[in-house]
Amino acid sequence: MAQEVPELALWSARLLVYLSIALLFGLVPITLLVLRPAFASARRSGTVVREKLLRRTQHVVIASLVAGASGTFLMLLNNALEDASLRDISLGLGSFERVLTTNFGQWQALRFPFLTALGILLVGKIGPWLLGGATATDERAPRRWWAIWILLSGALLATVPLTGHAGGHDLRVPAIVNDFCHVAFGASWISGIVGLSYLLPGGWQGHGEKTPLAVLAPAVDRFSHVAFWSIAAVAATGTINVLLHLGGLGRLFDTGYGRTLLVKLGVVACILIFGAINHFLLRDRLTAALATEQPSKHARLLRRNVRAELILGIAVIGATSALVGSPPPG
Amino acid sequence: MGGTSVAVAHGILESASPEPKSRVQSVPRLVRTTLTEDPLPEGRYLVRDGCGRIVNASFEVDGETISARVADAQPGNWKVRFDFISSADGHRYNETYTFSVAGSKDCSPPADEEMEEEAGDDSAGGSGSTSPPDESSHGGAAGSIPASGTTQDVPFGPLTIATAAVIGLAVFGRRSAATSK
Repeated sequence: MAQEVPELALWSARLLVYLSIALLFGLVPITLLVLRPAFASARRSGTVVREKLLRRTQHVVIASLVAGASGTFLMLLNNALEDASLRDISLGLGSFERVLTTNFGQWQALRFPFLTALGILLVGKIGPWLLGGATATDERAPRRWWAIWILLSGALLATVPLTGHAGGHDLRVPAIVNDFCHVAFGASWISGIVGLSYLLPGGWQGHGEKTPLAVLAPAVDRFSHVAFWSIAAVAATGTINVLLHLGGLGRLFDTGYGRTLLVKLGVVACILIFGAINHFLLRDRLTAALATEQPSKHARLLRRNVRAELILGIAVIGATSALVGSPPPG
Repeated sequence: MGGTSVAVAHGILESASPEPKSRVQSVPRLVRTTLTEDPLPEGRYLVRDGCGRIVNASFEVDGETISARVADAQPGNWKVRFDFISSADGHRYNETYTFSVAGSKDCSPPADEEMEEEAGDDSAGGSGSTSPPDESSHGGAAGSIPASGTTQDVPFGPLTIATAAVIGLAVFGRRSAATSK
């Protein structure tokens, strides 16, 4: 009799897949709204930071492609094992075939061509094109490259609500549209946090740059606005999700799904606290430090906060993975 | 009385008739279980009477509801076990609940049911029923599901076309020439 994939492995696979898909999608708005304008305002400064950012972004994209494909395979394998287990047969191609006859199987399987296509589109082109147009001497990436990136990563992102609880809801279309918006804004936010905490390593110290904080200060300033609107949208669509899937706030406390959701909301509340500190206390001081061309102690504090936000953001995705793995009571 | 004995992998029970943990006065002729998500038609649905015998020859799936007609059965503590995969998100429903039927039971085993008794409660073995599934109503033999074949074909054609389209799109985007600012 076939064995099932251990629940912890399945949860980890979901977390990896969701984080990967979020990054592949969220890098687009974060690059266009935050990183490219920040480099444009830094003018000649930021060369060292730029090289590191492009290298690290390439690594993040490749890691996301590999993790997304591996996690998706594990999820399909689990579905096939459950089919085999239900039938008392050994795992074989027949079980995979039966999984592919279902909606969730087909949408999950479609992630492979989406990931492959994103690999073809992005790998090797991040370096010359990601920040293209930020300075006067740059070559600008073709618009259709960006358009196709948005299209492919958006389609990849859509597989999340299509294979989740929204796909099985009585109000299928509104539930899927709302969930898509929820994960799209969440993806933009987490990608911005990854951008500030990991992709801009030189930005924090300004090593080798003429003007310390030349890239970081405008990046933080711009991301602050993106984060505000993203989190507001995530909260609004998340509230609708609660009403759609939970069927009432009372069920927050008396069901496993509701309690997991409470944990997620608690983590989000912590993120909001860090975000508020960054937005209202540290952002202006960082901009002031840039004006005086002096290193700022606030940059260190901000970096610690952003790292904490990154950990909490991954915890939110972890809680989401647990929610997807448990039945909604509504 | 038996509680809702839950051996959950995934899934949740929305409602049932007779209700879990309830006590009914006579042997039910129809047992019905409603889930929170539509199950795939193929799965397991076992109704055991007060003697522990499987008393449904088949079951039907209609939307979120699974139902089974009960033939000869004895009072006592009844147990209903279902094991399905959600048609929406691939989660597996795997739960057991109980209810009781008033009256005294006679558990002397009919000769032709001995094989059924060998199937343990948690065994994936099924009922030993010889009734074929009622395909027109998405039914299945109780506990026993076909070990081969699929209910519908894999749409290899559309999947291949979609794959070719997205790969072609990516190649088209990659071959774009950069534009000078």
